[in-house]
Amino acid sequence: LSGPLWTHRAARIWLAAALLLLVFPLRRWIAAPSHRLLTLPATPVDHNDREAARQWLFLWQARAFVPPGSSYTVLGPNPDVEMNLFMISLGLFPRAQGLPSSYYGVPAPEVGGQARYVLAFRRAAPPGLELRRSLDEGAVYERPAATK
Amino acid sequence: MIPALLFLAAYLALPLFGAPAAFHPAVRRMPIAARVAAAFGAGAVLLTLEMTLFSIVGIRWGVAALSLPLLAGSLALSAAWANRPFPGRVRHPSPRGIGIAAALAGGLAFLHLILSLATARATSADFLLFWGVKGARFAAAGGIDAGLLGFFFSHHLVPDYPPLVPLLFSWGSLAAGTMPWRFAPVSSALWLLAAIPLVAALLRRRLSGAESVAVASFWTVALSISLVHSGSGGNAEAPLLFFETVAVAALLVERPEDRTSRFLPALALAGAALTKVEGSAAVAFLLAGVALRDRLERRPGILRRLLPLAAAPALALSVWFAFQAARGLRIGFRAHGEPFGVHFQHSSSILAAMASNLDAGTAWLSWIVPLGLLLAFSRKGLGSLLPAVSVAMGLFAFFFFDYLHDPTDPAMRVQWTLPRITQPCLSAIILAAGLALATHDAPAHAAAGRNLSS
Repeated sequence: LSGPLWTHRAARIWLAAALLLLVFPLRRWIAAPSHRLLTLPATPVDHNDREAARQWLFLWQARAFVPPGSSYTVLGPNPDVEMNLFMISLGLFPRAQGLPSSYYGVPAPEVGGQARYVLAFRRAAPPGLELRRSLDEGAVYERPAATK
Repeated sequence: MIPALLFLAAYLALPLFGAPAAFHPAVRRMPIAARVAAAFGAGAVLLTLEMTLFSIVGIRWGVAALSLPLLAGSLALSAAWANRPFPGRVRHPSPRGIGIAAALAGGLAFLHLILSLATARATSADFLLFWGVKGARFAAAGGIDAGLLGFFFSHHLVPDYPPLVPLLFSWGSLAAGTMPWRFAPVSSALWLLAAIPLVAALLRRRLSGAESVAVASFWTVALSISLVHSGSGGNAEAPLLFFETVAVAALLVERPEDRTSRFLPALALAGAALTKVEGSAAVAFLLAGVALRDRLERRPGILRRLLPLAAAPALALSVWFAFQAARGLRIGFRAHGEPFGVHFQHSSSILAAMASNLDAGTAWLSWIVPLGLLLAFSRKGLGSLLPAVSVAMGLFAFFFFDYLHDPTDPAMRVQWTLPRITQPCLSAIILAAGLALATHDAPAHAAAGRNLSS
């Protein structure tokens, strides 16, 4: 055998190893469902965290109903989801004030209770709120003026 | 789609802000792609410092307000440095077959990375939870929002963390008019792309053309796969990998007789310190490794030549700490528990979790190949590899020590964090192995009449 590929020992070793590594992503792409290979994502985490994707999509849909400058809180079916929703919401509502109803599982109703808008994800709304919009997995409510 | 393009354009403008780096005599002799990559890194550092300074003095951010001073300074300094003498440009020929094979492997790996990022297969959860959040909110506030960072319910935003990544997201969001959440993680690929020509050009100082492109190709493949596997899209791992890799490579390839400027590694270390807390740890380990190597090889002026490497990250961080002081925030980084509040009972669990989470998406081969080569070929000259080895080993020890502070078994946290935070270690090991193997083969090169130092 002759030629540059066979006369540069170190380079050959590195290239052979590099080509060997490529087998791993190749297997991953072959295993992916063909109809979803290159579709543009609806959320930033479509294919690596489906649950976070659904939470993100809910908040994304709610954006239109929380005006800039207003305050909001998020309610989830359990403390972990509620915390995740709160963390994501701070980025998706950059001009609004996020007030948590719980923080890392510690209830904070006195804080969330001050919010004008309530975003309820997969759970019923507390009584006394006015429905602003039903969404795929929840709803946006507004606190009546007297209780704000 | 338009916000995504504007966001991308904002990132592609960074080399204009950092253009002087491309004209510095220490960088100017590199190929054009490496010079643009150096300017990209410099632009990111300079923009971060400027945005922080604006927030200290209360100047509201805007695309023009941020761009114009940087462009003016960049033009003036580029012109000044372009007139300075430099040793002459180095040509980087590599055998055509090897060049094609290396480009093919690296190109396929990069395609894997960019497709995974663009189709939301590799986004970091932390991008949604705090990196992107800070970027979007700072852009909306027109400056670093001290109120947000000081808010009682902002603990999860890690308010004390260095600002480079959120500020670059803010910069992109200012240009785009909004944070393009679905596209922004793709920006992580730019950091890897920028590192490739610098890795190849720096390795070329000690390796043959064939070896340097082959090692750079392996580096590209291993790190592209790892970035996807560890879900590093949109977090700080890719920029940290860029800065630490450039610094390690630049210092690793220094010859004993070198008296050349350490401008590039100093700049990269400033970037690392501004990116993550681990960046400062890497600075310390790298400085220790360089000092020890220089001492072992009896190089002159050890402390004098270390000074810029320590001063650049210290100055960069001092700007961030100055912001914290000016806005009444807690100054410095939040410690992860009491320094010696360690729980040694978790040692074996941590070590087991660390070993099982280092597969890098390649069944551990990304680690096994360079480690095997390093162990096989570095027997004569481990001392010369200390800049890389000290970073890799030091960071592993740092992470182990950090995990020991968890009061409960941190196996789950190791699983979440280790695959991404050890990527600079993998990078350093690959660079060290590349140099070890080439040095071992050097007599054969000499016999073949090849000039390794060209």
